[in-house]
This record gives sequence, structure tokens and C-alpha cells, in this order.
Amino acid sequence: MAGVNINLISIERLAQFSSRDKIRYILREVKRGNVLVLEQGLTAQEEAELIKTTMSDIDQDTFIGIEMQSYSQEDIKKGSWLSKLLRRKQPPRMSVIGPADLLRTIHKDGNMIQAVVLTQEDVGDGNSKSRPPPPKSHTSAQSTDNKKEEEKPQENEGD
Amino acid sequence: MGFRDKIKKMSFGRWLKKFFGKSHLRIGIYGPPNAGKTTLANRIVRDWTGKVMGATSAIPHETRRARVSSDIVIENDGSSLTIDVVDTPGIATKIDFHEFVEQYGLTEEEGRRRAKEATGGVIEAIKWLDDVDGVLLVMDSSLDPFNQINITILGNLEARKLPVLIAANKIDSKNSSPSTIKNAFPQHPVVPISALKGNNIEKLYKRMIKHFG
Repeated sequence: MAGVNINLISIERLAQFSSRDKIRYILREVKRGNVLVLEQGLTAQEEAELIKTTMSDIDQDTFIGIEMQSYSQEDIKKGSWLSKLLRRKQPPRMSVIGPADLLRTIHKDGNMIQAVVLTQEDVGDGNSKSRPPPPKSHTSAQSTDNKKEEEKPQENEGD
Repeated sequence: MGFRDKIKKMSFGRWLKKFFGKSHLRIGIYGPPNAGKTTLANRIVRDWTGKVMGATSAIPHETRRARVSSDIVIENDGSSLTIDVVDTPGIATKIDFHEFVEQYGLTEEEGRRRAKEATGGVIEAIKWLDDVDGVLLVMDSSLDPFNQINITILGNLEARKLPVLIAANKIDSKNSSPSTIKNAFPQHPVVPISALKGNNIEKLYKRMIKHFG
């Protein structure tokens, strides 16, 4: 059956892996052509490791890399004074990761990731720049945390 | 910034450097490909030493090896900061040689070679995160700041408690919107600049001395 597998991976499943195994698992699935939606995404350090490993694995004829989208990890605002003092982070929020030639981000902001999943038919001969535009499927992920929408942008001291 | 905030933002390594009086800091210039990292590195190095750090190009991944320029003394209003500037290759999650061939007219051989070297450059840039004391994160202010690379780099810097200063570059371009970057990352200082034209560059130096010094 033609199409792209989209695997929604639960927190419990991810918790079974060490960071290294998680990265291996993700890359293995992505190289098989699967798109993964992680209920709890990777930490920033894990994302950097995933990028490094991806770069090592790139083969221009078979695997050009990954498309990854995630949200920033917020500082813990409630909790012990020690957590606040150490600027501990909340757990990572949802992430979507897929093969770069099949997954395209079309919009992203602080609370929404909108992506297009192309099928193998769209991709055609594997030449990414010659792919026909109309996507076969369309997915988007909206965070349940709407706090950011209510916050007004703050002026930054940098200017 | 209050004293408490300063303590919170300072990593153990930076405390040691302060304590033992390390004379200068190593500042990494990071960002996605084509954000203007090498243009900014060249601007800084040329302004304070008269030298040039590396070649720039409209083709992404022009810088494929990290380059270090040492002992740059930046001065502003009687204050100074001595730094080593590390110009890093652009970080990306995908590299496709077709892009170089079809969009920039490279031959397939050149495109493939560039792509291979670029993958090594990304790995090197990420490894350098362990060896810098602070980061100038360069963003193209005419593009969407919620780029995954920006998110991942900022997350790593926050986890390492490294001070970061965002340079909202290319303010000379028509679609520039530094305020979008400020709104996207309100927790970090943002200085709008044009590394190419030199707009606001004095403001950046002043801010670097205050933030990294």
C-alpha cells in the first residue's frame, strides 16, 4: 500500500530507551521512511546528538537527512526554589521527525507546527527539487499549552 | 541584570575562569547556513585587527571548517573585552547536493563534495559547543526565527548555561523584522545589525562587552 507511515510514539515507549538508543531508534525508523511524532520530544542535547549522528549517516544517494520540528523547553515556573534558581527546564514537548525528502515544515510558531507529508509518488525519482508540489496528506500538531498565546510579547533589553 | 540573575546565568566553568582570572573568552559564532556568520566574524576581526577571517558566498555551507581568530580586543566607551572568535559552519538537519546543483549552478561533483564537507562541518560546529564560553547566535532577520536550528542551538546553550547574544542580522534587507526575533526569544538579548553594511555594529560591541565581559 502506497503512503507514508506516521508513528505516534508514547512517553512510555520512549522512556524505555537511553538517549543513545532513542537516537538510534529514531534514525532507524526515519531511514525506513517513517515519520515519527514523539509524545515527549528530545532534549536540546539529544537533538544536537541526533543532528550529529544524522550527518554521519548522510549518503547523498539514499539519505539526505531529517526534518525535525520541536518546541523550546520552557523554564520551570512552579516548583522548589532550587529548581527555579538552577533554571531547570520542563520536560520536552512534542516533536515531529521524519525523512527530509518526505516531510516538509510549512509553518511553525511557538504553539503550532504545520507540516506536509509527501508520498513516494510525490518524491518521484528522489530528486527533491523536481518533486511535484501537491501533497497527498497533510498533518499539523497543535500544542495543548496555550499559555504563550495569552502572553504578550515582551520588549527585549537587547536593543 | 541583577546580581542574582548573574549568578544564575553563570556556569561553573565561567565561575572558575572569573576566579582564576582567565584573560579572555572564546566566543562561538553560531547559526543556520547563510545567516551571515562569517560576514559577522569578518566584520569583528577586520574592525579590531584589520585581518579577514574567511570567504563568504551566497551558496549555503561556504564555511565548512571552524576557524579561530585569537586575541581580538574589543573596546567601547573605555571598557574592553578580549576574545577568541570561533566562526563555525552552519548547522543543518539535512544536506542535499541537488540544492547546490539546481539552485546555485555547481556541477554534480562540486555539489557532492560540498555536501560531504558540509556534513563534517555540522558535526564540528556541534562539537565546538563544548569549548566555547559564550555564543553570538546569528539569525537572518528576514526569515522565520522559529527555525529548528535556532531552537536546538538555544536549547543547548541554555542547558550549558552559556551566555548568548542574538545578532538579528540582515536588517538592511527589505523583509527584515528584528522585532519578530525579539518576540520569539524574549529571554535573550537581541541586537539588530547588518554585518555586511556595519549598521548597529557599535551597539553590538557595546552589548558584547556588557554581556560576555
